[in-house]
Amino acid sequence: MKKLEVLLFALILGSTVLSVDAQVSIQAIGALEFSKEGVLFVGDNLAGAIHAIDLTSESRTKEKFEINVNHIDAQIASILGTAPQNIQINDLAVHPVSGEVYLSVTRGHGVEAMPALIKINAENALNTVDLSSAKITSQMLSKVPDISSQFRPRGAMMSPPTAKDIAKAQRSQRLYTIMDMEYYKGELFVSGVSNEEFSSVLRRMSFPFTGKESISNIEMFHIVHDQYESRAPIRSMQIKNIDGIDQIVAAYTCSPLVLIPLTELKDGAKVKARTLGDMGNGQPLDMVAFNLMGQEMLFVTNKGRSPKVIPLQGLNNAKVVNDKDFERGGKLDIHPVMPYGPMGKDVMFVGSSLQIDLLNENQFVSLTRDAPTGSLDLETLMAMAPFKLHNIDAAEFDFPSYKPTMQKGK
Amino acid sequence: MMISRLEMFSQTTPTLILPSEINGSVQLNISAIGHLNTEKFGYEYLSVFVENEGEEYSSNAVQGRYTIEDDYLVFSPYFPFEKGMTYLVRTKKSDVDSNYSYEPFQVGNKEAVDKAQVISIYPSANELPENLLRFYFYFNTPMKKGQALKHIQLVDAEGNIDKHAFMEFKQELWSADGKRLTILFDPGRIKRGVSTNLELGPALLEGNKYQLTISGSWQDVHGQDLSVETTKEFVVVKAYRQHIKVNELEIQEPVANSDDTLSIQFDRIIDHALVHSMIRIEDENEMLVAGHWETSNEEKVVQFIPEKNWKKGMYRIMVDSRLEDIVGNNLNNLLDQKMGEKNSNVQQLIRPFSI
Repeated sequence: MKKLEVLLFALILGSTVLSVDAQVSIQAIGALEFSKEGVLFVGDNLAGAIHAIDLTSESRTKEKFEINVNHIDAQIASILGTAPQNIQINDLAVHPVSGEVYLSVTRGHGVEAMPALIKINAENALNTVDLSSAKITSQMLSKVPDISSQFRPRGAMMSPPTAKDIAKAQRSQRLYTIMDMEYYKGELFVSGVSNEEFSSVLRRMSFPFTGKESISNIEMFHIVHDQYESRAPIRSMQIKNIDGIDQIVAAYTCSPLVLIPLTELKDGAKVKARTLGDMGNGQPLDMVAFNLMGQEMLFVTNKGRSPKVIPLQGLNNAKVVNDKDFERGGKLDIHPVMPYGPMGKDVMFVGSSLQIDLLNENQFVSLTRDAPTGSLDLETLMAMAPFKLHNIDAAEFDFPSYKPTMQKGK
Repeated sequence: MMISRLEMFSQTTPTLILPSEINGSVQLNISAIGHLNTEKFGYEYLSVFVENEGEEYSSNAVQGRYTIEDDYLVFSPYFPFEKGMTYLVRTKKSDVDSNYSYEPFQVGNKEAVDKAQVISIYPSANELPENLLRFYFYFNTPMKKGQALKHIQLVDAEGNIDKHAFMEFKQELWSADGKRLTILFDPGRIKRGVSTNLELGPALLEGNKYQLTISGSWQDVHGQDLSVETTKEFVVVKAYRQHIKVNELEIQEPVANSDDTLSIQFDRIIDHALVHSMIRIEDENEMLVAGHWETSNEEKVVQFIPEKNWKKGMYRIMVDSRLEDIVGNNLNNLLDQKMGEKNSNVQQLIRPFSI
C-alpha cells in the first residue's frame, strides 16, 4: 500500500512539476528502445514514465561477435543473487554503437519486484548496469490507466473462464501503458493504452524531453475479428517511408498490419489507421527491420505463429481495406481469405522467439524458448534462415553415409 | 607473561564478516594483503555465489559494489540477499595463496515454526451422506507426504478399521503449499453395481456412526509430529442423488452502498474447496466484483464478502457447471449416474440480481 501511495504522489507531482530531468525513481523496466547515438529509452509502466538512460559513451570493443548464452534466466538469477523463477525478462535491445545486448528484467514478484538492466558484452559476459550512477532523464506520461483498472474475464468460446483466464483479467491495464517505442528523427513514438475508453493510443514526444507529449487515439479495421477496434493497443511497430511519406507500420493482436502517417499524429486526434493485411490469428511480439539481399524487410515474431518476413516494397501502393471488402463474420486461419494482403512469408523457427533485435547486418539476437528442451536461451541467428541446425535431428543430411546424389542440371 | 594460544586467537579480528540481514554486506579483513585495487581485484579476493548444486550455470558471482572500509574489503550486492537462499562466499587470503576458501551463509532468521496441528476437516458437518466422495484436511504446516493413508483411518462403531475405504494414489493430493490434503473415498465402492461395491459394499452405510482418525505420530516436513490424535465423529444419512439446482438457490441480496455479504443457500453441503474458483460475481459491464468467498452453516451457505461497497446496478452470479456438492455431483452430472438418465449440458449458470 505504501508503495502505491508513493507512486500516486509521484504521478501527481509528475504532471505538474517533475517533467524535465526529473529524479523519478525507476520502478519497473519494460519496453526498450535505443536512439542511434545510444540513448536507451526505458518504459516504466508502474511509474507511468519513460526514462532515457545515457549510454552514448559506450564504444565497440570487437568488430564482429555473436551472443549465445544458454539458460539466460538462470545466468541472470545468479548475478542478481536469486533463483531463476524470480527472473522475468521483459525486453531486449542491441546498443547501436557497441553492439552489446541489453535486457530489461524484473527480479522478484509482486510488491517485492525490482527492476534490473543487464548488459551482455562481446565476450558474452553478463553485467548489471548500475542505474544509481547512470545519467537519466524522465518524462511522466499523462492519461495512464489507473493501477486498479482490470480486464473482462473471458473463457474460450462458450466456456466459463478458467483460473488462468481470471488471473489474466485481473492484471492491471496500467501494465499496457507502454507496449512498444520507436525513436525517429528526434522524436519518441510510444504505443499503448490510455485511461480513456478509446484506449489505443500513440504518444509522441520530442527528445531531449520537454515534459510535453501529444496523444492520438488510433482506430483500425480488424479483418479476422470483423470489427473496428479502438481499445486493443499496437503490439509492435516500425517507422518507414511508405508511399513517399513517413508512416508507422503497426502490428496488432490476431494479427493485422496497418499504416499510420506521422503527420496525422496530433494531440487529441482520432486517427483511422489504414489496414493493409492480416497475418492471421496470434499475437505479434516484435518487429525488426533488416536488409535481405538488397531488399528491405520486416521480421515480425508472434506468440502464436511462425515469424513473418514481410518485404517493405509490398506495402507501397497496397490496397487499404475496410469492412466493405469482406463478408461478415470472424475469420479463422483456415478461412479462404487468410492470410490477407502483402504479408510476406512464414519462416522456420524452432521454438518461440520471445524478444528479438538485429545484432548486426546479417544476424538477429533472440531470446528464445527452445522447443526441444524448454530452456530460455539468448542466441544469435542468421537473418536469412533464423534457426539452429542442432535443433533438427536425424534429417537425411545427418547420417554418416549421406552423400549428395542429385547432379546439377539433370 | 606468556599469552596462551586461545587468548591470541580471541584477540585477532575476525577475517570474514557475514551478513545477517537481507540488506547486509560481506566483509573481508584485508590488513594482511595491503593495498588493493578494489575495481580490479575485489572480485578475486571476495565473491559471493548462489549455491545451486552443480548446475552448469552456477559460475556467475553475485554482482555488486566493492569498497574499502578501514581494514575491510566490503561487498554490497546490487540487490538484497534473499531469505532462505544459501550463498557461498569465496575468499582468498593473500596474493600468494592460490586456494580459495568457501563459507556458506543464509540471511534472516528462519521463521519460527508453529507446532504441527490439524486445523480443520471438511466437510465440517456431523451428518454426512452415504455417497460422500472426499474429505479435506487442513494443517498449519506442510506435512510429510506419501504416508497419509498410514495415518488416516475410517473406523466404524464396533471399532473395525476399513483399510480399503479410500483411494490410494501414487501421488497424494496435496495443495501447492503442502498444507491441504484431499482424500477420496474409493469411487468403486460408492458407485452402485461396480465390482468393489459388490465385493466390499459401500464404505459408509446410512444410519451408522463412524470415526475418522488422524494419528498423532504423523510428522510435518520439519520433523515435528502432530502429537495428539485428532478424531471426527459423524453419522451417515441419505445419499445425495440429485443435480445441484441453481434456480432453486435462495439468495440473500446485499443493499446498495453497503458492504453486505451476499449469501447463497444451497439445499445440500457444497464442496468447500471448489467454492472459491467456481462461483464469481460480475457487474453490468461484465467485470469481476472484487471480494472473497467463505462458507458457513456446515458449507450449505456460500458467502461473498465484497472488497468495496456495492454500487446500484445489475449483477450476475456466474456458477461454473463444474461446481460440485460433497458427493461429486455437479450442475450437469451425477457421480453415480443411472443408465439412461439424462445429463444437462450447460457451461455455467447465471443468476441475475439487481441492487
